[in-house]
Amino acid sequence: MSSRDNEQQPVSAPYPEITAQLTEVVGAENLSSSPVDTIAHAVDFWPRKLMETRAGRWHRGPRWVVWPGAAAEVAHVLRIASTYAIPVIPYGGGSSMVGGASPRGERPWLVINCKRMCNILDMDEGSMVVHVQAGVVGVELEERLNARGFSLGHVPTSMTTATLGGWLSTRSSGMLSSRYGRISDLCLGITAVLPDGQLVHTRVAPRRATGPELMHLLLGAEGTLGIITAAHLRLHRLPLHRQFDSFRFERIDEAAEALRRSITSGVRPLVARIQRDPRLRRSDRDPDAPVPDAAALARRVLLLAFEGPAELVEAERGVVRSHVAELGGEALGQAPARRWWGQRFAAGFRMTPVLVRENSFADYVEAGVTWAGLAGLYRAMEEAFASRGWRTRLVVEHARMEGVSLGCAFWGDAASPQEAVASYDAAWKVAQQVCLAHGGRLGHVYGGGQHRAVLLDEWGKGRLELLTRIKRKLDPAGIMNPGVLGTEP
Amino acid sequence: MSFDEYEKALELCTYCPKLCRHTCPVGNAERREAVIPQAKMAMANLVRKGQVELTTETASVFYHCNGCGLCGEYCEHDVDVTPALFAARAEAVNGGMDLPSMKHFTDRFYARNESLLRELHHLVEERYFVEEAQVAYFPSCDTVEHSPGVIGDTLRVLDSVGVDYVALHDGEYVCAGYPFWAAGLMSELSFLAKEISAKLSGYKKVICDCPACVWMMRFLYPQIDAPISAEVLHVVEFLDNYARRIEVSSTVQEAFYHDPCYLGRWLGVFDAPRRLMGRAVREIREFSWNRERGYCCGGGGLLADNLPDVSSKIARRRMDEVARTQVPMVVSACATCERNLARESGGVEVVNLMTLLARML
Amino acid sequence: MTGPSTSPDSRLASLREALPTLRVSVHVADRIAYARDLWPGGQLEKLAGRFAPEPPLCVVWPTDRSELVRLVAWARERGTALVPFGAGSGVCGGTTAGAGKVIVDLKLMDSVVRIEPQNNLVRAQAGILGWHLEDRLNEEGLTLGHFPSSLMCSTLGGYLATRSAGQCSSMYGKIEDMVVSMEVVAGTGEVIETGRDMGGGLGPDWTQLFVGSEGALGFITEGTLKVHPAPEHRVMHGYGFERVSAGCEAIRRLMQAGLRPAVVRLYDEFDSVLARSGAEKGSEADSLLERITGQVKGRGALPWLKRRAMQVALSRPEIANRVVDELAPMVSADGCLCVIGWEGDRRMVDAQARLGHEELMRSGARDLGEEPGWHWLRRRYAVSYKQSKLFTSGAFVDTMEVASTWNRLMDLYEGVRKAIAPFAFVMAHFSHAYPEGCSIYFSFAGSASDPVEARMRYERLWSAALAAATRAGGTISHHHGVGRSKAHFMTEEHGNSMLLLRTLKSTFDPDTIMNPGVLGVGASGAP
Repeated sequence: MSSRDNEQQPVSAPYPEITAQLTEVVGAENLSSSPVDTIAHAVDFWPRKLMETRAGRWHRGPRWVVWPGAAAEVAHVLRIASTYAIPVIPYGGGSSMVGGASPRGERPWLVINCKRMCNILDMDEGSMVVHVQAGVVGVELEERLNARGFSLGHVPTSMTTATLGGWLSTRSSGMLSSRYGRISDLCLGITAVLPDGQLVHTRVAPRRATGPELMHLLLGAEGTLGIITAAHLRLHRLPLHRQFDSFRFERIDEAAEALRRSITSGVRPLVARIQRDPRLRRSDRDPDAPVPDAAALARRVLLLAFEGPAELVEAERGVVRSHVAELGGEALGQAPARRWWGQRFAAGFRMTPVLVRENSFADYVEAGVTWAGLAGLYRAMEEAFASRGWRTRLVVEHARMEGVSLGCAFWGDAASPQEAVASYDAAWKVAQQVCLAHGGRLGHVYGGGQHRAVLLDEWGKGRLELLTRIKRKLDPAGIMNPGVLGTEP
Repeated sequence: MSFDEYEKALELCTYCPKLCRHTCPVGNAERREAVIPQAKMAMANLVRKGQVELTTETASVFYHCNGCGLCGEYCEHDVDVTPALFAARAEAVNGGMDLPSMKHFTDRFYARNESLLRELHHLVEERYFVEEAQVAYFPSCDTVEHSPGVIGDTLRVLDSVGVDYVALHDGEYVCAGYPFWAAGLMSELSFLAKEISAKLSGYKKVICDCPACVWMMRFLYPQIDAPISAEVLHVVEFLDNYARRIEVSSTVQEAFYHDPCYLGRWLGVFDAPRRLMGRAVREIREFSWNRERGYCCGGGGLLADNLPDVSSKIARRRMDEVARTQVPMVVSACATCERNLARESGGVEVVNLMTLLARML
Repeated sequence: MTGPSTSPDSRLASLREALPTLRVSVHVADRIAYARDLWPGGQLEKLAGRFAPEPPLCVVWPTDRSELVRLVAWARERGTALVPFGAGSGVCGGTTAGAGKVIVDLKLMDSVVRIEPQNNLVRAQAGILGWHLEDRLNEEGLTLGHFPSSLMCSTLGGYLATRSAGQCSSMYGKIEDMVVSMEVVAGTGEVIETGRDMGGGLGPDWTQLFVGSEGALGFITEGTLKVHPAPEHRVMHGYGFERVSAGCEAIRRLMQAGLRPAVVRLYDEFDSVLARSGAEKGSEADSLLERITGQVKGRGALPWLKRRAMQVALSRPEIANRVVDELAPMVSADGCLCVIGWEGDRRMVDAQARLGHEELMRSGARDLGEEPGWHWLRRRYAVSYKQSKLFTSGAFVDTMEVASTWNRLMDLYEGVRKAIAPFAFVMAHFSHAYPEGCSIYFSFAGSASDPVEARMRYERLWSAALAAATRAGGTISHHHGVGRSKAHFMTEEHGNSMLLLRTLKSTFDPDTIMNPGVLGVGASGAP
């Protein structure tokens, strides 16, 4: 994008004046309208936009990028934005897969990049609570915590790119969620700046009964109501003991039931995943391997990791093994699960090689489903994608008392850029229809952004309508990430 | 038994955080805060202290009690709500503020007694009525009216175990006066109790098929100067001694046992009916509320007369639990229970223990 | 809008016209029974003869959501305040009627809508009593795991409205951890299903924004909650600690070791005397203060002497508290009692109980064997019975449950204790422990020469205690809620994030008809 584009727009706002005011707040070195920066903030990781980029379409970047150093500066910046009705995108790692952090439409956007606010403000080791600024990148925070013998226990595949603020704003769920919950379960309180520049700070208590837990208005709001600048988070001690187990089942049904019974018994695995038999992957790559028959294709493995005191870990493994045995599962030992653990961030790298191929499309659909609905949804999703010639890899994860989530990576190749986008949109449409028909709840792991809000059912749209009403009160000028989560653009 | 005797209980209830409310069948049926035990007692207390005027309106809540006493099982202060509220009803009667439905209660009581006496003599051959006997059988009003077969069944079962010396009491009453107590008509009760006591004291043992009658005669009569020298037993207590002798020709697969409040909680008879039932039923199913915590059928405290809808709802709650299983039968040992539960049975057979035993002989 | 100035009769007439099938009562017994909840300040007023100073306009019993929706429409039209009512056992004035208000009793909406054992979920209506819900789940071999000491006299709706906690919260969580979704009839009249059985949907977690709303945003009419298999095994154990601080430290380490005990209770030196006392039902007098004073004066004290000691203790609490401070080491020869319980799957329980035992012993606990644990379990609902005895003896008694992270816990304990001490006899236990902190449950009793003075003393006590709690960095309520009695401390509690609460209020209750005054919002609304 060039500045010429912007100058072609009818301007009501005095841009030089705004620039001057912003500069005064954050300092010249922390403000940029240079293409170097505006281009870098023009797209996030929404595959659809990446596909458009690949096809040569140039995305308009923001007019300004600012890097405030403190909540007070964020407050100043938002007051300026409110005054001139400048739309704002709170920006962390820019790794949104749903267009939550990319400018849209023809307006002059202001991106507030939060990454300078990345300090640990306080560490209460006795209570195992950290007070940390929200601009910190996940892996950086985890490493700093590890150095002091702690872990946050939040490990999504976006670990190396996303910021804490991004996680909190999307109520992100990581691969250890069966044990530690999603990020909102780890959060005890936040500091946030509202659109009018007011700072709100929710007090920290282990639990309380003093009305609604108000931080939840901003958690999951994807920057539409304000900017989260810091949070108090629960920590865990680095584990003394970690063990793995792997089991093979003839069908998804028994694998799911074994996991369900284990969770119901009170087992809290660090990781619980049901996926395709890893032996099949070898046959994918080895042309001499025998073609797998239907029974082999139907088999699923349950991969588990446990952590905690050794004796408790062994008790949990014992409970799981007895359920597995009742359901006819075959023990595969520690190795397959351990191997997955060693490559746990690999999934994040799988999509790019597909997307660099001309006319390809790819994304990751994910749906929550109760235990009772899991096998049905699983098969329906598999069939729906296979029947259209799209490749998929399904995984069951985020196990909880009432259900799990079904992840479905899909990819394929089309004949033209237009067809690629059409197939991409069709794939999402299919996923949505399958979910509607089989009790799946589309999407809860990484937010909705611009993309998924439109795919919601009546219930989901109703919830976003509530958000819009709150937004009209807190953000009358409509400056906060407008257009995200179905809010007015 | 005056109102003021309950001062301590009423005060404790007034400031209690409603700790027995979940037990009250009336409270559960009406979902009305004013009729949970705590609130009924608090209202009685306000009336006692003169802070609230006694009117038909304020007094009406005293009648929202089925007299089951389940609340007492959850009371750490050992408060007995039933007698306190019945005493409050007596206050209402004395103040002329009792329920309109209680008008002419005494007349109706005796009219019913007369008709049921005639009914009884139609029902049972005259040879069974004997003036003098070792053991007298005192049949009760609800049995005669609603489960008349029980009397013959009881005699057959007794016969089968070789007890042939039980004779029907040839008296003038088929009721020991529980309705008077529950209506707060204490002088009427006193008169009746003395009459019955005089008649029954001639026997060594009296057996009766109504748990409330047994409780009245055994425990309340002595308190109102009408003690009975005979040992008063419920039929089930008496028959329990011969349980092993009962030979049945067939059995029922499974059935629930419903503890009548007065037989169970009030008289403390829990195992005898189960032992007897065990002769005829292979699997005795227990309600989740059973034994000391048995849940009322809704038939006590004159509830079925004054608040029939509430009474039905209570029975329905009990039978709903049966309906959630596939069990086809509920057994009890009280005609009042059977009548009330049968009204809401939903196709489940509600049967008296004596009838069941007689059927299986 | 006709406005609130219209006469009660005309408002009742319009209510009956608008909702002809709605059950409505103006019966004097109802207007008295629904006038107050169990806020001890109200109990004090009852003592003074003010048993129903401001009775409600009427009591209504809606039978379903559509009736509630119409009721809300009527209330908005007429500017009449609605007070959602479950079992009326709140202790913070959350359901206090107030003249002209309509009490909305939700207990006719008390069905268990469905139990899904496969999904570990139950859906039930708000009006069901906790005990009855647990009964139904037990029939299916399940448990909710929610055991507040009010289990017999509180409803699911009440739990959800106040963020209630049960005795096994350390394992099963508080009600806000159990609830997956709720149906709310908001003050706008709209029906909102806040969540989903799996995947809360996009945007904010509305369940967490409505749970704890105390009726200020609308009626909670149904809830979907997680359930668990009824425990097949249970281990209970008692431990002793010399001082309460040592006990807290041990619990902190226990909770941070990755273990999930079902029951964690540590009694301070004074509360231990009570908790350990052997009174089973039916044994001799067991009033809280009789026991304490009995300990102080010696076990052989005559009843009248005990009574006298109790009167002294209550009227001069500052002396009594000092005496107990002095005597504490002697009074509690076994120090502070700590009860730990484990339940669930046998293998998990056994492993955790062993690990927990080792952890506690490493922290300097004295092993008191199983009996104190089982004793507590048998008596788990007993404590509430002491209230009426104290009130009828002319004293006031109340409880205050605060919480903080571990680093502030001892300051919070000392701060609140000191604040209460001049006004009442105070003791505490620590329950509801989490890896990051713990709650403190203060019980206190006091008296005065007359009801008016008692009431004043009670008010001053609460102001001092709440101020001390916020000063020490604690929350003013862990699980009783705010109601009206703590509403004036909401700003101290939340600072300017009250702005967010006011935003929720104006969005979902634009006419401030919903339980105005609770949570410190909407006080100036309709009567």
